[in-house]
Amino acid sequence: MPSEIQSEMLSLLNALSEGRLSREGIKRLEQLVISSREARQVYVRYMNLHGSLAWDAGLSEAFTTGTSSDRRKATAGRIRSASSASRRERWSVARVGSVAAVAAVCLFVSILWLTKKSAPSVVATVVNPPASQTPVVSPERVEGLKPAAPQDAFAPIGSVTSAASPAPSDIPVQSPASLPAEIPHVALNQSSEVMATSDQSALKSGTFDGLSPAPISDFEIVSRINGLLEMQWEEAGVQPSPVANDSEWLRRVYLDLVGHIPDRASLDRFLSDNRSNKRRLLVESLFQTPDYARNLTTVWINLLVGRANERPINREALAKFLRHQFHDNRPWTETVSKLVAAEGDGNEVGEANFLLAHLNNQAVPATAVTTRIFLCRQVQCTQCHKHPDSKHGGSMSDFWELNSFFQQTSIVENTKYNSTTGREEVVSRSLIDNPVGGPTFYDDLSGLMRVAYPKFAGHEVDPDPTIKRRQELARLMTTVDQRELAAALVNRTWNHFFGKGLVNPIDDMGPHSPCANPELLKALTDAVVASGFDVQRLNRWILMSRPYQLSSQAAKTTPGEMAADDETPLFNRMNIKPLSAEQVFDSLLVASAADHAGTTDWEQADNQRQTWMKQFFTATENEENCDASRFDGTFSQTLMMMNGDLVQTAVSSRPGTVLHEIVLAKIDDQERIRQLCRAALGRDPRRTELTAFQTAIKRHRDGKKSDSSVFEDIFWSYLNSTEFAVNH
Amino acid sequence: MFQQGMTRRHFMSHAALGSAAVLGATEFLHHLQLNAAEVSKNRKACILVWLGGGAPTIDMWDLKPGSKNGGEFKPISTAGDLQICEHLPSIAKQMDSLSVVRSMSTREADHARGTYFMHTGFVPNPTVVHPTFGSVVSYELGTKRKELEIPAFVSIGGGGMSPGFLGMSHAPFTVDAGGRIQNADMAGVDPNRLGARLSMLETIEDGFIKSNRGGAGQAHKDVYSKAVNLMRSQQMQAFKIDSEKPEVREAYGRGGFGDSLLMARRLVEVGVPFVEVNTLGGWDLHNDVFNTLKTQRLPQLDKGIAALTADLKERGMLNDTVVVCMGEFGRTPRINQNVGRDHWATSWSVLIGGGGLKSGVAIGETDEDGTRIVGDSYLPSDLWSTVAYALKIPLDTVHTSKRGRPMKIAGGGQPIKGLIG
Repeated sequence: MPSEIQSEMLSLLNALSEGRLSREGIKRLEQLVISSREARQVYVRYMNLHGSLAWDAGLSEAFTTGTSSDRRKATAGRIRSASSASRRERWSVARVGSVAAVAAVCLFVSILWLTKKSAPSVVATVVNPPASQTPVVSPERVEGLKPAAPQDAFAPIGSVTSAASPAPSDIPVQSPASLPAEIPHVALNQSSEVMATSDQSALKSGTFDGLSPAPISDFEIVSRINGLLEMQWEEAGVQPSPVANDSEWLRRVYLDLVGHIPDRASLDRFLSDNRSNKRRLLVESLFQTPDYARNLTTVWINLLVGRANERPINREALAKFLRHQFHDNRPWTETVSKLVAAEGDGNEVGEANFLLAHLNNQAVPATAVTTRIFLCRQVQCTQCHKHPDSKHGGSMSDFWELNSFFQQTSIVENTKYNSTTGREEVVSRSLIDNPVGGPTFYDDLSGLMRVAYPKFAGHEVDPDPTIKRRQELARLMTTVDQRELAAALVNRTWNHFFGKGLVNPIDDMGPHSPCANPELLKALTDAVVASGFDVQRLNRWILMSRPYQLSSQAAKTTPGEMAADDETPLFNRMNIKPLSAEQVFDSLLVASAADHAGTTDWEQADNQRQTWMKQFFTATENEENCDASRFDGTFSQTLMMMNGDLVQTAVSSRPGTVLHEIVLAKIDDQERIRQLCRAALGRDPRRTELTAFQTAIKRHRDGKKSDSSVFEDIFWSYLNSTEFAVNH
Repeated sequence: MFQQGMTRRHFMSHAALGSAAVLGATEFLHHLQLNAAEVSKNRKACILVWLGGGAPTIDMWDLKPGSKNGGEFKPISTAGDLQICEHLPSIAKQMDSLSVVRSMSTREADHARGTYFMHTGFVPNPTVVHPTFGSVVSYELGTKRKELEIPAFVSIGGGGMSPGFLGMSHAPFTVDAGGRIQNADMAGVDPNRLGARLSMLETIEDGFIKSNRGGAGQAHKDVYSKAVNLMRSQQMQAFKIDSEKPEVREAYGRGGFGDSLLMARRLVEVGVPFVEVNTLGGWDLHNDVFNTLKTQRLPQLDKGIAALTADLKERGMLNDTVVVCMGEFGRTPRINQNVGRDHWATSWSVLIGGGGLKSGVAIGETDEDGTRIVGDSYLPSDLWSTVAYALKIPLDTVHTSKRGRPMKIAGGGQPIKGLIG
């Protein structure tokens, strides 16, 4: 870009951020921004920087002064692409006290969504035209303001390059009636009316305790994710993949968020929905479903106690505890504290079952699992020797110091007289803390006995018997040293949505493990801490980010091969994630209605699934409480999909199944094929599929065979395809 | 590998549909049998008997009578030139066919890391997943055995090790000790119908594979073609130990471990080059080590390994079949306060024999308390190089990770001199 243009842009931008840019100036700026990619980058970087600086400057006043909710149309701030309408860049300015603060750069359509629960100390920031004099309002008043329905099409937020409509080689054959607003860009060509509405639904908020460094908006964080990754893509010289089409995206978000594929009705509804912000609305609605809490519970319970753990714990009670935490979106710090410090009967105190599963073998598993799950740190090797990377700080004494937090705890079996058998029988187990003090004893490498006192991350804890050590550990993990907890949550969550962590392996974070994007990890860690460990918001940031919208299909200029396991992931394309056993089970039920174990009775549904899962998971033969899986995409899984009972039922045309309904429906064969494809894969059939299957149907009818078997075969084939087995 | 799989699958599905008539059925079978007889000569294989949890080898293969670390057991003489534990009398009689490496020193004393290191020859590394050695053998030998219709790497009992960068088509095929393979029969679907389904599936898969989404579609297709081969194969009989005579089953020991070893022998017989047996676990003996060994672990191990060795010898297979028996590490020479032994990787032993390796000897030694190795020590890479040598896999073989990083087979170790000399 010519330097005179650059300096012209900078002076225009300076004027803009100081609120003194004239209407002509804005026009000129708009022109420049539209004219070239570099100019757009200059614009984004400048506004990003300016926004951050302004926040820092305005911070001290932010807690005492609210901001305006002036709802004037932000005509001045709007920069819109006239030609392709594929991008829309807006910016907004927040006034914090008397400081003219540029809050965030809104690209494409603006807006953040207002979280429903406004915390008492909310600081609101408001979109505001730069030149206006903003009245100052009290926080109470701001809090009372509910914006109109937020408008946005979040998918392309932050996207700077003009993405032409992707033309994937496998664009499904759409029936005319359901042609969706396939790519969100379509929705961007909005009237100014929509813009006006966006302006009202101003920026927003989150919960901050007094310690939090900065009020952050969801929008700002999403922009930061996008900006950091886009910068990395540019540096690495890679192209991001095109945006995933609605079918691909919907199936993905269902699997990730609620643990199963979308049913046909939800799919039809989504594909025919023409609202520009339908992706965001869908995410919000999924957050409200019971399956959201159930899915997170499945993910975390498997981490906490494994799938095949044969120790006598009350898994249902633990699941119930987790479901409540996730459903009510309790802060992650609270969930972790409860799990680490739980006391009582496992039948009544669900969270106690986590440690009831791991106190064997001198609480070595408890020590290792607690740090691995919550902090993504591997300490079990230091049980016997120094960590291979000594900078990591892992040593034998560190391990046993951590271990000594669990040394007060024991398991008590509660028995009850059974009049039938005439015996006292164990009915439950309780986690009890005994008032004992002093150190843990362990043998060092030369066989000498040594002692370790409770100590976590450099914080020593009084070894007095009256001090409840697990409560102290919970406090240290979740308050005193909470960044580590936050970073671990970020890494696990990122991995959940992208199939790769920012640090890999995901549970071995530390200076010895490479991080794909350290700044991004830091930014998200900061955001999690500032949000008060809001799990749902973290999910939302990632779901709304640009990388999550991308297709698994490679950009035209990029080789089709996925990055190898040992390459640094760039997230410029969605990874292909194999479905978990639970996802396969639940998705088979959704696709086929083979069974009516819906979500009405969680415990029953979970029990059925647990029984089915036993064929794939066994506990390993050691004292560290791991399990081994045969659900790895090879024979066991393949044979189950080809011949297993569940699939047999799914592809039978028994009354009540989806297949039965489709076979009986008064529709033509092409439509039947389409319905079967939608039920199994959430997309419409390709032409090659239509041709092949119609031929098969015809041949079948000529042979005068019973009518439904050919549809059973088609459905079987869809369920056995790669696309069913993976989330892409 | 894929090419072969597909050819075979196409062939098999055509056969099922009756197009194999080109070649007369009898002629065809005869041809196959001849071929099988030819190739079964010099067919190399390895059976890995995994002692998950880490066995106290100081109480089994390298006893320290007179030391404070010695424990309760006494050594006895064997048919070979070394002594082993008194609770392994049947193995003692076979020791002229087996050897013990007493100088393993392997650093990793954590279960997961030790298991990885001992299976791969590589220390865990966050940036790459190395293949377990069974997958290496599947890759090197399995792909060359065109007559083999079942997977070239079978794990009886499982264990979760990964084929790493060699890809899922070299993953272990896991069965339980009963040899039951769930869902392997076609549940009443006739072969013609299966053929129709597979051809529909192929249409869907080809569309996905062409959609520029990486290798997942191709890998999925490969696994399906193998699964179909498996379902149709006569070689599946190898998993059915019921067809063995009762006295044979008795000799191996009734129960999961004996059954697994017998199945391993049957699998090697039909041409499977690598079988891992992981059905005798529970070696993580932090407590009550002597009692548990004496009454539970050692009697089973003794019976099974002795029967396997004798059986292989009798069938003339021992010279081509390497047997390795080990866990992820040994256990502390020092006996802890719970009369147990903890994790120990500094100085421990592995049992190895067959495959033409030198037998009846003890390689290397530990000091009088068992805490240190005297002289040369060996790593898992040396152990697997020894196995590769016995299997006639060239030691200069190099595999390439997906990212293009070259890796020497078996971690670039050196075969253990005393075993190949």
